[in-house]
Amino acid sequence: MDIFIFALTLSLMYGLIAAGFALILGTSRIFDLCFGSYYMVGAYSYFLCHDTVGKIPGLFLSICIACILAWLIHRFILYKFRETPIVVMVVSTSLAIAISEGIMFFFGSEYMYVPPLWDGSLDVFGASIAHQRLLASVVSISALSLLWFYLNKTKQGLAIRALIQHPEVAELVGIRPRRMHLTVACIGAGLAALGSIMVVPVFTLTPHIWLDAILLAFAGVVVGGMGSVGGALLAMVVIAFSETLVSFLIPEGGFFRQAVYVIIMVIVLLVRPYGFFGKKEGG
Amino acid sequence: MPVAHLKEVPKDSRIQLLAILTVLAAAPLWAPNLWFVRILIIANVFAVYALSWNLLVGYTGQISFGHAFFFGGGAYASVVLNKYLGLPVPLAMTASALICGLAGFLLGYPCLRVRGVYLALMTWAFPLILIGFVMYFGAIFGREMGISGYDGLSSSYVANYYASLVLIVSAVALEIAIVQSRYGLIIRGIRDNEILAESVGVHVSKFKIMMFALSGLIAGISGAFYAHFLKSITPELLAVDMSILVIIMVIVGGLGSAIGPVMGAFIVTFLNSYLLYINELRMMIYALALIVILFLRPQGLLPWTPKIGARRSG
Repeated sequence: MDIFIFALTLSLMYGLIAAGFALILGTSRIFDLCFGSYYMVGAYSYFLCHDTVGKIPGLFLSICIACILAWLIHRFILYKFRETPIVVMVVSTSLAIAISEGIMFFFGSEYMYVPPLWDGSLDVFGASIAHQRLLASVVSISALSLLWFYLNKTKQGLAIRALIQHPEVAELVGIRPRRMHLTVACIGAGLAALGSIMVVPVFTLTPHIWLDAILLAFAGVVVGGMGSVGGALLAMVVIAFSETLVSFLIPEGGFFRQAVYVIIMVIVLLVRPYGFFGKKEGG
Repeated sequence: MPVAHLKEVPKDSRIQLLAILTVLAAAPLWAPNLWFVRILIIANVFAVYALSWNLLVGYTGQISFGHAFFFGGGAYASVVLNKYLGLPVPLAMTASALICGLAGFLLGYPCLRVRGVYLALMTWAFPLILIGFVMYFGAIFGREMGISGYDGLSSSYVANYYASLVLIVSAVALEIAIVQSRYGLIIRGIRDNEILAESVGVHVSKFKIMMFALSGLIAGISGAFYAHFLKSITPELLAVDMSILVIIMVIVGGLGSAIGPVMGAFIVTFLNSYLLYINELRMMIYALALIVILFLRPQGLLPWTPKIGARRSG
């Protein structure tokens, strides 16, 4: 029961991250490996400002900071290289490393503790669940339903879905690809930042967490299929459950966390190279 | 990807190669101090590493984002063989190169199923599995502390320097020999148009796997040399930074030639050493430099590399 509830809350938290990445990738076909940096920048700015401006304003402020960062990176760098995905990967990976080194420069590389938004814990069916996890689940569910509403019920959402389905035709009917692309990049980064502020109090904050986030995002895309937000969410359930199982069953299995993501990814790539919900294409 | 845009392979002129070789061979004579020789040795090792990446990516067109798997893997394999099994250094290095070649051979199989961005993702992830193992079996691999206290190379810097020179010369010679042979034509064919290559009877999978194995072998031996030269290794050798560093080196120098990666490795290594005092911001400088280079001169910094042809989308 412990395992089940842990994994369930974990998959909801991870869902935010994976959905953000799947959205960016689906709309613009850009493998933005800086995604982990938005996640990390969100967490660090929350860490910086939660004392001075309070927890809730700090939350919104750090989401804004992550959005601005994403806008800048996409507008001035990645959008220029969008025709060549491999170049995008090279550039964004080196940018991500640069950002993480910059953060290491200012904050040092030691572990940091971020206070949760909501202290304490609660007993659910005999399992002790920290309030933060509960809060994270609620926030995640509401953010994801907002996202669903935005994508399915608004005009902009329609434009985004059109871009995912068929970029050229979408452009023909007057959707501006760059504007939509930047909007989506901001939304994705915002989700990442929100996810990080939910997740980081449960784990720890180091300049290396971008790697975790980007691996999760990868796994979501690979398992769920390119451009499928629902698929990414489902993938996170798989990931969270296997991660929790591994860390419960193998002593010191925490070291294998990243390896677990990778192994799941590789297996899926071998069995179904276009993911479980992706369209078949010569990607 | 820049790989696909090179219309022709930049020919490595013999005069340039010979000139570089002469300058390098006389290096202990003109090097101002031992520190400089030390940097040169590391530059040589990185040049071999860059050549191995170039062989796979520049010539065969199979992108690898996880070459640290072979570099770090070679380092760890050689060190473990030397420290725990007592193999002498040259034997341990050879064995670890063979292990890395075998690893490349085995990893080549899953890599056949994916291409383009997915291949990049998959290779990106491989070193992380290795890091997981290094961290888990802390008793052997020493976790974050890494391993030290194993045999180094010879104690003389000049002898080490010539050993690294032999390594780099043989790597360049091997690469040029491969590229100018029939195999070179075949792998470049695979890079430029895989379907066409297959239709004229090229066993594409066989050659791809061969190149993975060969590239792994070369990267493995450079990693082993690096480990025995520095006399201590940490899991940083397996980190993403290491995989990206080699990409930066090759892009700085220019893809798909033998001189390009070598020069790129020298430029980056010297920058590395002189920027030692601002260690934390090094990568930032590289990233910015890389972006500027990709904007302005995607064919690499060297003046004689040909212009890159019209961009194809996708």
